[in-house]
Amino acid sequence: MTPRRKLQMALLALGCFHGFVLFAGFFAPYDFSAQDREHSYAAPTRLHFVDAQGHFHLRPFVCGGATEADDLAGNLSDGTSIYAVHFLVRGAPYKIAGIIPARLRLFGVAEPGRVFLIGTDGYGRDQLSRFLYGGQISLLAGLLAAFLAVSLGAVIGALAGFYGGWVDESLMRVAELFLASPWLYLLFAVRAALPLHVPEWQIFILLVGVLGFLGWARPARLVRGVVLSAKERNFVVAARGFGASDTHILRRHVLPQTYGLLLTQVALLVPHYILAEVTLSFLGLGVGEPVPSWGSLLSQLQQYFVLASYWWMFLPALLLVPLFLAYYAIANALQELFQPVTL
Amino acid sequence: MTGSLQCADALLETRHLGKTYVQRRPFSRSEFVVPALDDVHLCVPRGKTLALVGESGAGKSTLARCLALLEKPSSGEIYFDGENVWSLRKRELFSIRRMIQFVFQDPTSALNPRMTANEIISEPLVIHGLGTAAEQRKKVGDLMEQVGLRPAWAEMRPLEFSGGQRQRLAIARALALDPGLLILDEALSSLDAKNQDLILQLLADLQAARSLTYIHVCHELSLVRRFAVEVAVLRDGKIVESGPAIELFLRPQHPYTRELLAAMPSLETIHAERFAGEFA
Amino acid sequence: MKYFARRIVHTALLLLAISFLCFALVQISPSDYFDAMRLNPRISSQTIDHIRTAYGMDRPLVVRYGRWLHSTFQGEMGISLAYNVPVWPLLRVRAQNTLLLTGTSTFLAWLIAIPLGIWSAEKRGTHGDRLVGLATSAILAVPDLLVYLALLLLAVRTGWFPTGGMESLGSAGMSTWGRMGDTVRHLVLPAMGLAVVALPVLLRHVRSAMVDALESPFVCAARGHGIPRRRLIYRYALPAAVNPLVTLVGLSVAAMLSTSLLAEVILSWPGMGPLLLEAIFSRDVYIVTGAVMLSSMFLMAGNLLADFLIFVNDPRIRVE
Repeated sequence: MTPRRKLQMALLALGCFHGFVLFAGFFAPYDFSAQDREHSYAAPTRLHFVDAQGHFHLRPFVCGGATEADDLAGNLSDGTSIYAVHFLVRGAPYKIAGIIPARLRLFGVAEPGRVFLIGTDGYGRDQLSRFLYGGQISLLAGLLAAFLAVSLGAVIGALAGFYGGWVDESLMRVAELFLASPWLYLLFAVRAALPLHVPEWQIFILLVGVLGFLGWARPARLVRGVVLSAKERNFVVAARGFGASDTHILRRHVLPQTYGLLLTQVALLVPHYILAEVTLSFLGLGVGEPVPSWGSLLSQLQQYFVLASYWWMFLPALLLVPLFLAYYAIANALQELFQPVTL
Repeated sequence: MTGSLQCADALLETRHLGKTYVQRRPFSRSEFVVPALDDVHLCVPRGKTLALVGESGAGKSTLARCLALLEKPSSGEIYFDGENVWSLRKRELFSIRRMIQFVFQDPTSALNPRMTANEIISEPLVIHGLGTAAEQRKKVGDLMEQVGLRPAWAEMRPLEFSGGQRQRLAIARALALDPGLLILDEALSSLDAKNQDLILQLLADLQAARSLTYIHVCHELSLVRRFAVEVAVLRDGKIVESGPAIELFLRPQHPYTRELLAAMPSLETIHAERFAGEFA
Repeated sequence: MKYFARRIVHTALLLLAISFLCFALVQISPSDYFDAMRLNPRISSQTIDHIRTAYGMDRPLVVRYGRWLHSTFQGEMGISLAYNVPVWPLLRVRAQNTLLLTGTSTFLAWLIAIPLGIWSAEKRGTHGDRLVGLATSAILAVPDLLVYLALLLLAVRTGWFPTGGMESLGSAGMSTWGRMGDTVRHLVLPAMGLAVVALPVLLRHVRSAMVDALESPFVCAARGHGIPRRRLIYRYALPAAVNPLVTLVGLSVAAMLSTSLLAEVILSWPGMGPLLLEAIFSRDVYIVTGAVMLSSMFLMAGNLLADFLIFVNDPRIRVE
């Protein structure tokens, strides 16, 4: 499979995933904060196609009550009510992009049936819905932070590489400072500087800002390397001979050499920053309740009884793996595609 | 320095040209000084070809770059058409740059591999803001024809061309601004014998058609014999001998010139090698 | 040698800069350790102010920094507000534990990465190599959080390993060997976790360095001379591949530090990580500063080590 093909497939997979998260309201059966104390730590609801009488239904259904006992036994007890899964239902209200109110959800079951596709947590909140909503925070944080870090790094690296001299030396010394810092520790320190109860969006902005700000050094170094070597190429000398201005040279000859590198860096950094956000919220330092984030979804696993008995609480973590795989596949494909053009 | 050059009708003239390279790490005291050129006098006659010869490390490329205004000399002056180039204001210098063009030794590195032939040749036009996109395109087509490339190839990238064709591309680009002086830095060295012949022929045709002046840096004296009208011999950054080519080849004055000529295979040997190659 | 004097001075300055950065960061925070106290209606604000003055927290930033520096050189690094003891002794114990963990896992990771990387480079392009490559990519994609949680699950479910801590109850009564064995039992899970997380990157670098060496002209020439395979790898290719890897050693130790934080918290290893976390929640300012400083120092020590190793290994650097 050519790199281009791999890239397309990975992008498609990622696009779908991000689409689900973006329209979390539509794809999630429940609101992320809707608690259902009767069904705390409920196992994933099993979908059945064949009922107790052995009839096949085209439309999947769930057992009434969807209690733990039912699903552990794996049986359908006679006499329990059946709730069909309907598609495109009217569910709890939500807002698209936080502005447009809507109620349409992809699927749901009629009360009092429940469809918890990947189970619930200690408060009886549907994990699937929380996963989708939580993705909005974690993914967005990762993407924004990665873009910030790479943009900052690109500008600084290009300046350092192009102008050389003391500009280069001083910028690279500063970069060394940043590279030498244990970023996670510094991140914690910054987080510590904030009061623990700050409005969520402020924490979010700060998180993204600090992550991006701490991460510019590595892309900067790489960009600087590319710019340094591009600057000395004969076609740049030729352009200077024509009287080209610095801007022209940067725009036309030098910077285009960095695009491949920048894209690859973004693809590599996004998973890294998503993980950083997940780690922070896992430890309770991220965006707080009730806004879900993948980290807070997983933080309950720190309790042994949850860890040992409720396997479905792991699922959000497992769902991260294909996501990261897709990003790394993109990075690899990009690296192959943007191999320097040589004889 | 022995021999003399006609400075009367010189397009380009240098006086006391010197260039030293200083390498210094920022924020440090120690320097590393490399003297490349020392007190160079040169007169380049209008409409003729001056060859710059010498062994490697003599400073030929440095001199060529200084003459092409690619590098600023550490001392001395360069006069183009009577004007002291480096004393001009930025705008005037900008317009002088149109008149002097440079062709590199290695065409592959001199052309941006990501640009098409059209973009490469029209880049000087874009920088100087000459003509609309359509006009530029037409000019590119004309130039490509003049150097012996098919205009249909304008959308191809340098790597799709052969070595000789790339050098033609570079020459087309150099001609885009209708310069008066073309400086070629070992432009033939990376080509095989056949392509050397072709390019030399092309250059001769262009010189006749456009009344171009050439400064041709070349270390291969056997080639120099074929095209040079004037020759200057460079050694360790100094001109040791200069004058009309015929004079230099028949009656070399300076001992170093004699050494260089002695090291050159004679015409008979060259022909013999050629024949041997063809029958092998 | 002059080169190293310069590097050490450089590192010291860097550390100073980081310490100030960190100090300033935490000190400009609007909330501090005493917030919890302020919420308590039984403690008057005068008492709180009194305590703050006692700790010198009402002085301007620069003064506080100066006093902290002074305290650091005296071996104290400020006072822990929660434990009411100097920071350094507290930190030192934890730091030792973290170092033990980080050192062991680095060693483990390299132990696997080097032979596997060499083998993979030798067999490049074959199914075996491709399999290893796939496994590496797979592990890379797994978040370290998941790895540690999975290991914890293993411990909880099977009981083969302790689920946390560094020593079992009653370890005081064991012999020295017994105690060591006990520590090792506790070390296994966190060290394995860290090693697994670090492995893919190391493996890739070893493989690529070996591939470059094996495909270089001088090795090809040696092969052409008929030098046997084993000698070829260990006497020709490996020494050439070591150069870029040496930097990596220093850097991998350093990077391990950031990642060890999470491992320590999840697997309850008593290192700097849990201490830092606790200090963050309670705003124990000097511990936070101290911990960040210390980890920076380890990082830079790692870099210095890398520089030193290169210096020893590569004669070209010595000429410069």
